[in-house]
Amino acid sequence: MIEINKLSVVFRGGLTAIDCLDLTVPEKENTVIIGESGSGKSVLLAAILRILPASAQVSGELLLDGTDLLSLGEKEMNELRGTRLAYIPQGGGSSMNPLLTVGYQIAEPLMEKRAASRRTALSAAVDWMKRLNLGSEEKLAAAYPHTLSGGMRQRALIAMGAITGAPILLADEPTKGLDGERIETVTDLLRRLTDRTILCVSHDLRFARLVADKICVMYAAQAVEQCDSGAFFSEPLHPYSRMILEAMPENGLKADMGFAPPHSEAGRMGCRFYDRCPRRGAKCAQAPPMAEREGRKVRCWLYAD
Amino acid sequence: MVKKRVSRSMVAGLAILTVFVLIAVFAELLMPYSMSELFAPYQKPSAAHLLGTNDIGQDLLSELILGTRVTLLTGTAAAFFIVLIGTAIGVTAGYCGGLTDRLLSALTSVFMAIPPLPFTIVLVTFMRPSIWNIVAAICLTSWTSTARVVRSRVAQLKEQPFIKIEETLGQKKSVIMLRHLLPNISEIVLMRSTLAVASAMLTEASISFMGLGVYNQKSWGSILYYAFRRNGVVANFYWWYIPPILCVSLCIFAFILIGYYGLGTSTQNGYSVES
Amino acid sequence: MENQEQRLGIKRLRLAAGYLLRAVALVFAIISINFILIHLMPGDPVMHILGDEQYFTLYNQFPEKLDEVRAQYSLDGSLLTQYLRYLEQVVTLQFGHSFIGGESVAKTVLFRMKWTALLALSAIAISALLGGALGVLAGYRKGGRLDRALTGLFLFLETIPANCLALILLVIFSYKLHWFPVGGMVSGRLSGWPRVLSVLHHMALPVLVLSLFRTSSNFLLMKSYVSQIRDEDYIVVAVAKGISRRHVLFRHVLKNALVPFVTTICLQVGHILSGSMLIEVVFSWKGMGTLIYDAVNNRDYPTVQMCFLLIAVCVVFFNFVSDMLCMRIDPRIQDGVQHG
Repeated sequence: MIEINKLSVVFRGGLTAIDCLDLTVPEKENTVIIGESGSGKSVLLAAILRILPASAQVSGELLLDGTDLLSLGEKEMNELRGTRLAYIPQGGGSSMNPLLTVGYQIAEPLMEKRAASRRTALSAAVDWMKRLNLGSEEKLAAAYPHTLSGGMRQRALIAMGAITGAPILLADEPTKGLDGERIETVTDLLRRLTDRTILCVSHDLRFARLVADKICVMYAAQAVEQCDSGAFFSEPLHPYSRMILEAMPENGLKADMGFAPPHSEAGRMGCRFYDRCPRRGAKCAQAPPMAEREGRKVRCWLYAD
Repeated sequence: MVKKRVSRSMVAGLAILTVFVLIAVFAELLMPYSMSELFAPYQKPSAAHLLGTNDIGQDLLSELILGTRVTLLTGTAAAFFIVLIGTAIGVTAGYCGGLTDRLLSALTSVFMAIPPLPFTIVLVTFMRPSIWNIVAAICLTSWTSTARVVRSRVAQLKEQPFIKIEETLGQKKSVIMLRHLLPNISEIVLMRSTLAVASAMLTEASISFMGLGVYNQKSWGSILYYAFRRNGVVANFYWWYIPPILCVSLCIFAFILIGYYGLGTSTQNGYSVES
Repeated sequence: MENQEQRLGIKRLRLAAGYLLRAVALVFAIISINFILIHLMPGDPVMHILGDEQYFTLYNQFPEKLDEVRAQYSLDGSLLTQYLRYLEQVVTLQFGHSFIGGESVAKTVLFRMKWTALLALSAIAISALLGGALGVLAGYRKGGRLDRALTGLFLFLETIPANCLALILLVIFSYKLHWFPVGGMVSGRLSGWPRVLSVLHHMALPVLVLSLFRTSSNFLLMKSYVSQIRDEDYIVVAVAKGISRRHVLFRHVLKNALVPFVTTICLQVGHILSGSMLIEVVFSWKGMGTLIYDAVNNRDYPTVQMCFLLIAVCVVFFNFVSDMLCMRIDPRIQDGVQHG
């Protein structure tokens, strides 16, 4: 279980990527963080793994089964990576080392953390690639990343994260750049990993609906709504949640509207969603508290008593 | 907007340079003696001759002051042409691509395979030494690295949307290169030029040091040459050979301050903070 | 599977053939440039051979004698016939005799080459290892204490002209302290181990100066390569995978930095014959540098021409070697993919 208390991340130059975030990621459940690009959701994963650039200031608590990750030394932290925490990075063109084979990069954590021989590790890598339906897996394992398509690279990265069997899986946009059928493969896989705690970042609402047990919505560096997946999709509370769900056509896909930072005085000082909110009132010029209602958390004056 | 921040090291570098430029411009006024006045040779530093005299009895301080002019002039002139040629070839090759690029790149490879110093020496000897021949010789061998750097940067830039838009609007190639590409590589060009001045000054000093400079024309390198050849080094007349070394080093130091620390860091900060 | 490997082999072979063709073309171009430059220089070369006075005496009184001298040194005929003859000589490896001593140019040049190679190769080996290793450490922790200290030190070194540092060291260690010989390569009449030791003793200072400057530039280059690669996504991913810092450094960072670094070192090795010229002059090391220097001063065309030819062939050859090495390290090159 991961418990995040009052986590803030400030980059050099004063940009606040995460502002006082509280979040509990329950054991063996799938939590999906939804937000537009720029809302700070990818930074959260990087903060948990402690792979942010050294110039970023991180404060608050990141509790992994009671130990604060932020208090660990680099060496102890590195022991947790790959054994307790596994990472599925975003599948951009530069997320794989261009000079090492795909198979080797997938197998690498096994050799490093489980002291597996090169041979067993590679065959495990091929097995995982098969689970993800990459096609002609043996050949792909011996190929170099530049020969893979974007979708293939994305699935290879998922195999790379899942291979160690670390109980907590942190996935950054695992369905980005995949088409419908491939998304299904990934969704199936993540759902079948019932023995793992999965924290996933996405702006793909359909994927979130299929995978998530818990939902956390982020807007402009803050969490604005946290609840069970079912409750979220049947009755979203926060005006922002409603907006993105309405923008999602019944069978539609994504609701990435592009991030617009708060530009008015009220948007900066008060509710971050002020400028775009259809239901804003006078009160909203002040920062809203995180309201609790029926086990759900909403950061909005509408629900504050 | 990228804010231009003038860093402290840049100010320091510019200050040192200004002093040298002033010395070069007003050399005649600053020299205690003219070169035609001859005194007893091999004198040690004294009140009359702060740095002593050389093997034929010329005042060394005056020689050093006069030498500033040739060294600075050769360095800056050579650097100007190096950057001019290198940028022109780099931009053309990078932007036009195709056959032009391949021909120009081949030309660059040919000149890269020519050993710079020996080649310069051959040119200087056969063309009869003069400042402009030395400048030409330095240019011919030194423009290649600037051309390479500029070419690869331009090749990246030309894929950028703002260039693509100009192209679809049917803008002329020459206008795109001069108006749109050139301003975007100005930082690199500026940095290359400071480094080019430093390396051109080094080459000039090396040529004069080997006795291939212009006869009877004073430069820091030639002072060193005579100190080395006329037993100034063997007898350890350090007031003879140390000052020109210090001057060359200080000058290059100034250019490195501007180019490496000044321009180099201000662009880095500019991009990472503002974007 | 086998088919794939065969295809890969063919791809590599085709690429290598391309590199080779380019190398040959380059050498040809450089040979031609050498010829043109040396023969288009103002002044009659025969004048340089005979000296002004004798030349003008002959020119005024016995012009036919002048032609004889011209023929003797293969300087007769039109520029084109001279050029073709020169090409023929190059291809048949006939480099003629020195204008000055009359000795076989090939013999002199090969002798000098040996000494220069000794000097330059040791310096390159030392500086590639030292500069590379320090650059990796500094680049991996950019802005750290080691980085700031070394960068300052090496940038300071860059401001001193190589010949000046050589002079200063010569004064201190040879003239003042008498720790090292003043110049030359070996004390006379020695053989066996004492000779080797004497050579080492003589080369200590020049190699030190050469290595210092090369180390400094290698350090700065390696540092910038590593610090750039360190910020790449795949390095962050490797850290996130839990790979130890040592393995991240060696498997991921170093391998990627090796591609540009190998190119740099090969370029240095290519320039071994001419790169130490100034240092050779200061330490009176009888290598290629001093040979070119003397030959240029004496207008000894055959020697100058052969030196330049050798230097060019050397540069082009090691350029070829670097292309081949990079092709082996970086799989993207075989597929013609641009570096990312």
